Amino acid sequence: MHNNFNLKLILLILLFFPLSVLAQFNSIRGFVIDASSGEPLLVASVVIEENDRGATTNLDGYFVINHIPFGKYTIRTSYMGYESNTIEVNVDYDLDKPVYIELQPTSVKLETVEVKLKREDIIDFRKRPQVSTVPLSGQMIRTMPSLGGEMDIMRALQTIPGVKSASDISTALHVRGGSPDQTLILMDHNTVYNPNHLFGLFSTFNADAVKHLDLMKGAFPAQYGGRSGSVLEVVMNDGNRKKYNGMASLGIISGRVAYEGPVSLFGKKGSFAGSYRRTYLDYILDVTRRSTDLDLPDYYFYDGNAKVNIDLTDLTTLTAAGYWGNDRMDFDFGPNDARLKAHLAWGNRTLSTRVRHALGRTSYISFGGAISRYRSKWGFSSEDIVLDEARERITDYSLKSDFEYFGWKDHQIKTGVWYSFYDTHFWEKNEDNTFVDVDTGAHNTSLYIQDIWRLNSFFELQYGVRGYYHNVGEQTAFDPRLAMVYHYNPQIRFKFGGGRYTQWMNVMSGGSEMSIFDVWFPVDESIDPCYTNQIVLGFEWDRTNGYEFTMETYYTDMHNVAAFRPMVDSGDQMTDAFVTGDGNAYGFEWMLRKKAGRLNGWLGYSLSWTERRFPPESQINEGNWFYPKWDRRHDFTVVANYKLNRKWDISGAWRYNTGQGFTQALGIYTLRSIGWDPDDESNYGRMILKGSKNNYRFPEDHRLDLNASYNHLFLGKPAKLIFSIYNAYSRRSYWFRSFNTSENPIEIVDAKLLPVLPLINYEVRF
Amino acid sequence: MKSISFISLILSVFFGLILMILTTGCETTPTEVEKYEKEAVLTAFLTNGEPVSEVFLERIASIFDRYDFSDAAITGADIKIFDLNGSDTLHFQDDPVSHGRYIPVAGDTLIPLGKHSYRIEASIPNGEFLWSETVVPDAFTSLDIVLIDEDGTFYPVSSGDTLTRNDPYMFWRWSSVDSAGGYLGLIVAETPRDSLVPLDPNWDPNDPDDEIEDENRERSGDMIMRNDATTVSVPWIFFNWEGPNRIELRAISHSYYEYKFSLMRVEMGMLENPIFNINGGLGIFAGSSKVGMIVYLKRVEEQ
Repeated sequence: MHNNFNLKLILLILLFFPLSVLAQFNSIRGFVIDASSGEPLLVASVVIEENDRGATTNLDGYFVINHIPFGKYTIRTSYMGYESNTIEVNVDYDLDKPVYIELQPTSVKLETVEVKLKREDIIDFRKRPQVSTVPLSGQMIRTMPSLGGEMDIMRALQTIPGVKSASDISTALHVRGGSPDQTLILMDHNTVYNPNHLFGLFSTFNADAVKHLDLMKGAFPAQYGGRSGSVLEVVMNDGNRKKYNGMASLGIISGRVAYEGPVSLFGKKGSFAGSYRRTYLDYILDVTRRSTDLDLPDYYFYDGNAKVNIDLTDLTTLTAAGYWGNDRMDFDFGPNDARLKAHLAWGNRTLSTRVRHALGRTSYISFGGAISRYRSKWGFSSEDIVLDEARERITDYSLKSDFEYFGWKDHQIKTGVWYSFYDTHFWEKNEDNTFVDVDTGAHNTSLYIQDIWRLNSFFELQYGVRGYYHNVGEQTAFDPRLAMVYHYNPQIRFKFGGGRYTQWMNVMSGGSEMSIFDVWFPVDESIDPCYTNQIVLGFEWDRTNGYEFTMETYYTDMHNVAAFRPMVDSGDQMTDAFVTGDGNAYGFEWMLRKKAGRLNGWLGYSLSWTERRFPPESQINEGNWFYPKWDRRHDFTVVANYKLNRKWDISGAWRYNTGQGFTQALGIYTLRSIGWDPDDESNYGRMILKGSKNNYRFPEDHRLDLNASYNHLFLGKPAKLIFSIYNAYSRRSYWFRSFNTSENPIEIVDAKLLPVLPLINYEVRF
Repeated sequence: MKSISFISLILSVFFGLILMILTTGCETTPTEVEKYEKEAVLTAFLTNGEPVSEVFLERIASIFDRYDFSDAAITGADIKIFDLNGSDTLHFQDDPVSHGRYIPVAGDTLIPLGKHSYRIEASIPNGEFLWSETVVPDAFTSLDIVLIDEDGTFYPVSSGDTLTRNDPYMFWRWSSVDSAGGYLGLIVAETPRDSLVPLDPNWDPNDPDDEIEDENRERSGDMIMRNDATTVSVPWIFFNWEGPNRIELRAISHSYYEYKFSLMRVEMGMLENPIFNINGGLGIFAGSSKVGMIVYLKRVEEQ
């Protein structure tokens, strides 16, 4: 009886005694790096074969798999475009240092697009709860058809379902019904404003310098904030840590160079990467001007990236990165004694530093500061008399810190703080009067905390909250975020995501597609911040043969969406310049993507609606709902890359979408003006009365772009001759409609965009 | 764990898609010009100290047909303008020469006064009723027009002066006007359209390439300024034609400033239509006061 009691007592103690105290655990942590260059690989999958547990690397290539019982394990690591690697790790008390896992690219002899996928891609970024995220590698972007050989990430993104452009010549992103300012664009963790060249024809991101990007089309997690629509996170090349590499490229309109390699500073090792490109349109235009005596503008743009990484210790890396780019156009025309001079210039500068450190066995911390500045100016003058001149500047000074904690089993906690000081200045004047002179500053601080919680092998939850304090007007906001995934089986999963998304910067775009005229202002006490509520439902199916299928439906309602108040002619606070209204966006998308094999690419389709409404006093569409120009009902895209043989790569992209909206005319009348000559009124006074905003649509757009690359050796160095055909069957899409009232009956003039453009580009790597 | 066929999923998605397209329609926005009841357009301007001479009334016409004001004209309307600060009322009748133009009834006259409010009413035979009100700005007390050279020396300009584009640029300065919603600078060439000679020194009358198209023979040009402006610099690019040019500065009513400003926004694509102030229809009823002079512009051949 007594012995029986003791046995029961022991069993009871064992029942309540945490088993973890008895078991012995440690973590496996480390970096996944490219074996050829030493660069960290982000969002790579690291899996313990024995227990199916794993992790994905973060944006610095770091991973932690925690709470692993002591023992010997096989760690399999895989990443798109790289051979999988398997290593043995003995998990015990002594496992203290991080492991460095090197992956070999599938091909290093010639740059190929062939991508192999292994069955071991179990722990994949896509399998996390986060919805609506499309990752693209720099290599993938560089294989896509390009305009004039200028590979462009924004154009690549416009082929993804749910992402639309206002027109063929615009690189601005309209993601799921949002306007371009609703997308947070981060370049190496640094906010970038108005990233475009040549009036939006090209983006400021030089694709040669891009390593990886993630487009989060909606329902993004709490670690991102400040915008109400979507996030584009661009990671630039860190630089080759093992050898020096270079690239030079010559195209029809621009030349590019890039160089990277190892670096050593004060005995510390690291890497650097830099790139530069410049158009030579100014020289072409100058020659044309001299030979034809035409009034042609003088235009060029250039940009450059530089990044240095220094390993301060095995676990600490310091990064400094910078970007600078400028566009400049001068146009001088008219009779010699009354010349009209136009000058436009705009550009970005960013400078950032960041320190990241693997803190102990379970934490990872990064902190840094950044300055991002966008400036534009334009002026029109005659005889040195300023007819109109404006300057705009936004400088965003940011301090940011993120802390990741992996110590709790099945949890991945991330928290951080982001402080920004927005310093903006805009003025517009002519020779005699200053119309606007607004100099504003606002401090915005936000804190977030989020957790990815693996409830069991079927359910994973990502939840978090972001809180803001905006000093102007002492405004606060709290954005809850939630995402979850249900794994129906290892290949099929269902997802849900949603939350609130607050935006503190507004853009005064002035109705122009040319975003150089965009003026950014922080929210002040006279206006509430824009916010959206988003929900997304998704379904994903991964096939082991490399196919991925994603289907999502979403709904977003928008509040306090800001628009430029058309009738403002002066002002010193936000409500003078802006009017706020409501909006919504909803739709359905699917994407079938083949990531592996000689043929890879995707098919995508979206069916979507987006609407806006502003109060009647704004004079915008008399207060009625309307579809903005970028509302396109159907959008179908095919992107394909095919490796024909060792010498030839070919790629193509075909896109179909519903025509762009425009405002159709209802009738005609005589415009009379005080003091005008009556004869002029009779002859030139015909005026169009237009209907409700965007009450009509142009015919549907469709366009095929093709690329063929001939890979060969040039003086023993890998080289590539790229033939590209933009708009292969010359289907010119409609841009805008105007009415030539000097003709009677009036002439309807439809401006169309670029016809077929065969272009060539030559690229050498050394 | 269950599994479903990949092909069956793709097929069901495609069929679902087709069903969705059929139920939503390929386009939900209209592909034809929306149904529109053509409105009446009423226009009248009052000038401080000058008798009111005309009012225009027309109906919006089709954009697809040849436009002629007399075809669009509305006739037989009962139109009157009256002084809300006084007792004067001016009645209008159809102009027998020009349909759609209304002229004062014989014997009636109305001379608008500064800071007075006026109301226009138009009753159209089909029952439509249009009305609006405006305030006529007070008179200017001064306008100085000078030429300013590079070292800041200025030379007064007087009516009848002959100027060239090689002269220093022109600068206007004026006294602010009560009840003005803004100002309007006007330059109107007085030479008949068929005889216009461009000031452009490169223009060669014998060069067929330099032939002036009919649509480029516009003689009137204006610019608006806010009501707090009292100066404006006018480069020679605003003057296009040789011969007499009428320079006018007008103080304009708030409704006309808004109308002209909105026209600029229409050109910039920010607004669909200008902001009218006629209730029950479209058009503009506005007042102004004016001051100005005539100068002669002489073309200078390129050296």
